Amino acid sequence: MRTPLHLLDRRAFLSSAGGFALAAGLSPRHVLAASPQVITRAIPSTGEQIPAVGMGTWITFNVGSSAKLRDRRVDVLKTFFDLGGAMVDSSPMYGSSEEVVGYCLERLDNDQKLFSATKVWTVSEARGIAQMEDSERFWKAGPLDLMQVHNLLDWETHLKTLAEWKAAKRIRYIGITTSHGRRHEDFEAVMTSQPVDFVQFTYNMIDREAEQRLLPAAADRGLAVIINRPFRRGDLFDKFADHPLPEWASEFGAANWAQFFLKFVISHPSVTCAIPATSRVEHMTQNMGAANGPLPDRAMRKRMVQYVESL
Amino acid sequence: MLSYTSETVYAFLEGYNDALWPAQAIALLLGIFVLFAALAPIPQGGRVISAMLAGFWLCSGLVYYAQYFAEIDFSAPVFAGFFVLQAALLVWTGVLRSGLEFHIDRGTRSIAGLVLAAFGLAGYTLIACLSGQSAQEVQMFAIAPAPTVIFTLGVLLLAEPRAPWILTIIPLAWTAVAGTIAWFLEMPEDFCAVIAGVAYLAVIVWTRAAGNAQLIRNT
Repeated sequence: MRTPLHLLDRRAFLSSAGGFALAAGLSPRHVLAASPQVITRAIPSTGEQIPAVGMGTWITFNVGSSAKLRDRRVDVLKTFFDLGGAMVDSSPMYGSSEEVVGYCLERLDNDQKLFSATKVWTVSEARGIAQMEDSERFWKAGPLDLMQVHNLLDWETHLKTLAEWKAAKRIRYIGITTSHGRRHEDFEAVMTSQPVDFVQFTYNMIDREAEQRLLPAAADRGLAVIINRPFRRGDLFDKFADHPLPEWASEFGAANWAQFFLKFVISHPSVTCAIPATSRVEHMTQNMGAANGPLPDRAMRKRMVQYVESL
Repeated sequence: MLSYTSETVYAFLEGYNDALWPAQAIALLLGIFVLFAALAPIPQGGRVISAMLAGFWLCSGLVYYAQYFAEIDFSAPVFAGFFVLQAALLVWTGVLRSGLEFHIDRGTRSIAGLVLAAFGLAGYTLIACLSGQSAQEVQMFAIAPAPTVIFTLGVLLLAEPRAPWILTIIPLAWTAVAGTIAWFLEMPEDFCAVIAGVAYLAVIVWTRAAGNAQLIRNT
């Protein structure tokens, strides 16, 4: 059985992370005061540690101006941070999600835990800059941690802008994204030829195409990997949740299907962070449970795939 | 690929209706006036009704879609564009070219048109409330697309001679899109839009066939 990739007691974590932060010239804000049990992964380009389970905001945080629905998302985000989460991923494509995340952050004291990850999704340099400035305004969290070119839209233009922004310290990392298994060839060409820190694509227990090329390529290039659709937008629960969780799931600490699916994803050695999305506190609690305890090793991962394929 | 849930839509409608009140009441009176103008013809009635219909489409397009719904749906400006186009077509056909006259009689097309129009005015909202939504959480005539489209289809059935097909493309296409969205979001009231579109087509086909049969009998 594989042991957790990173389990430090709080003091050791803070001293090692703090020491690294001083060495790398990072501000104390970037030292994550995560729960000591939370599994973290290193961002290859800097060694910065981030929790392996983050949070997406597609649909779930797109609630417009409704104060009632926004306040419920405050509870979801608070639970996320309380349970050791850090990366929050969003995009201008997600309607009001960025703005709603900003609303939630304003009402929570612990925004220092935030690892902000959003995207630029438009054509042209001027529109891209305007969109990214909107993101800065919505989240008011200092420099954005990660800015990604969403679905490779006008990537040639935006990667140039992002490089300038990174040099000016307006963002700390650059990334590119795709999803639903689309454009993997184009994506691989860009990720292997352009100076990016992060790549984001889809990977889950059914959609495992990324194991063939993208995950190994990311490892070869030293890129951090964010995984979207780890539950296939709820499809995995529709397909499998009526079946019993196998007893041996407890061997790697999966108490429910959400943790079963997430631990499969984050146990891949090339994955840095998975970003499931939810609008419910109880689901957030389940999701963050996957960031604790042991992870399945290679043999167990194979067994997990065989089990779901048999259902 | 919808970026929102029905929960968000209903919360959106609650805020939207609150922001626009009392436009709903004014719109309802204007809608009733349109039907009276078709029943008891007024001078330049065709132009007046066409201009009012155009106004309803402009409101749904520029206010509902472009100004408000765009906050949660990145495709809302596209819908706004089509609604503005429909308004322009109504102005061009019915106001500038004076190519539309409306009246209500006892014929099948007329009765069907009146029923559809009345449904757009009030029936859609009633169905939504019966589906479990509060009155504030439903689309209202002239300031939101579903009842506006249904009402328009009804009024187009009152056109004499028949409304040009160009005026029916956007409303009918919208009912198909609305039905798809309703299916994904499980919002039963929006299936009424699909039913209205199908009913419109059925009436047109049936009355055309009946008219052809009459022609054959007369020759």
